[in-house]
Amino acid sequence: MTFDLASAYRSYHGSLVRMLWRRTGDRDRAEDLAHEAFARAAASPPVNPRPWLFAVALNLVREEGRRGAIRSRRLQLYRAEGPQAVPGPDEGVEREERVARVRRALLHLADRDREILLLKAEGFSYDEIAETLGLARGAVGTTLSRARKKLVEAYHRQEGGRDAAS
Amino acid sequence: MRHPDDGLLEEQLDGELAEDAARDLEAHLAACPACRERLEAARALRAEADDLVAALGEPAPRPAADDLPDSLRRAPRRGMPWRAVAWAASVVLAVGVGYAGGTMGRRQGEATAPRVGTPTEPPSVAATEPPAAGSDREPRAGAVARPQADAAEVRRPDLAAEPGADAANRFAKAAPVGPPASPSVAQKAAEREEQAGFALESRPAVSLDPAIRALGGSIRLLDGLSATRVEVTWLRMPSGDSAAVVELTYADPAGHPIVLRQSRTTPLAEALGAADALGRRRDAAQAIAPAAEAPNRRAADLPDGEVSWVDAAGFRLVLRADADADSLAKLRARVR
Repeated sequence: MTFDLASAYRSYHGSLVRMLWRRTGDRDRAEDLAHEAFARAAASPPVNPRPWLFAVALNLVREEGRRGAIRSRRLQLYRAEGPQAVPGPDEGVEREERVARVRRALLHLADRDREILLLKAEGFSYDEIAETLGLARGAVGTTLSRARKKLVEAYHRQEGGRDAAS
Repeated sequence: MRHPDDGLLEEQLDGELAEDAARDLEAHLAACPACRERLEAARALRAEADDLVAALGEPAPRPAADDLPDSLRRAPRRGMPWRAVAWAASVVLAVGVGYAGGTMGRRQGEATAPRVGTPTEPPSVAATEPPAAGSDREPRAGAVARPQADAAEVRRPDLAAEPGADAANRFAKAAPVGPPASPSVAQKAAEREEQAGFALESRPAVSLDPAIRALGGSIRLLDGLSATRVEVTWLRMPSGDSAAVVELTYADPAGHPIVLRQSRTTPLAEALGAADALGRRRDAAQAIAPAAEAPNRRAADLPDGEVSWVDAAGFRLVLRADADADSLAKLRARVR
């Protein structure tokens, strides 16, 4: 079945941008990365679009991180999300606080743990997660279990004051 | 069944366990209170973790965010080699082609041709916006070309006019657009579009002024020669910014072409090799080369040698000539 760019875009672009935005905290960067992933898909159409697109995008994030170009962006994560974000379930100032705390907690996770949580939140199945992250299918459960645990721990460790690691 | 590991419990909670494995797990849990506790603890952790991630929220929505943008509609055919062109090719907004004869480049006569550091206009963001963005120039003495007012409307070929799913699926050649000033220019533009496989907007230019403005007030020229052709191409970055790439064509005494391409560098443009990609795209389009980035595959009439560098002012320059490395180095030294 040939790769239908427009259809893939309609199906996955929003989800990809959201995942990248949650990953990087930067709306523009998320859009750029998503655009780049789709452009590459247009140039070499993938067989399995969703894992491919997300894998490409996550690799791009990792590469940029490795090049150290984006270190300063992390500081942005500590500032209030403000108009960039549409509120999650909670409301008000507490919500902004919470978002900031979750972001800080996420920073403590290894790349893979962070990514697996974000992919799960986008509705990826274990098979899709395995394909996207290059994991064995049997390893997805344990990785998720660990990642969830670490996120919750990192979140609560911040309780009672700013995280020392910031 | 032996005590399940954490991964198995997680699979159960995420509904990913196969039927028989799930049955085995149920059986074990029925008989093992310790594992029942572990399952409940895992359930709580999972719920909290998922809540936390959900608390991150969504980015603010943008209108029509799920429609394939024009920049991706005109994605290149599969098999085109360089990955940078995947965005670069889709975004050419304006090409100016000028045939200048004797009036071009004679710097004494070119009253408004500044060198580096002596801009005719203060470099500004407006100067680097794509012409179609509405920055209509005020009339300038000596400049024959004007941005065509309706260029903005014809900027993008109306692929939506094509039936149904074909519109998005067509990595199609766009119909030539643009109101060229003369038939020969139109012809050239049409040919180029056919070869390049995407829409170009032709804006005839017979002076360096548009190029200088496009670059933000300065231009690098090859000393001692007069440019016979100036091309300005706008590339839109994925971020939405636009960058101008100016290509000057000279002829050496023997009549061989020398091409100098320049653009202001940005980290993103550098990373994607913008100026180089533009050149390679044209080369490959003319050479009909399907291979990967192979610098040795060029059409016979294009210069063979290439040298590329970034100057002190932050411009990426690419010089192409039928010359060996020494001659290229000498040529490079004459770029000011």
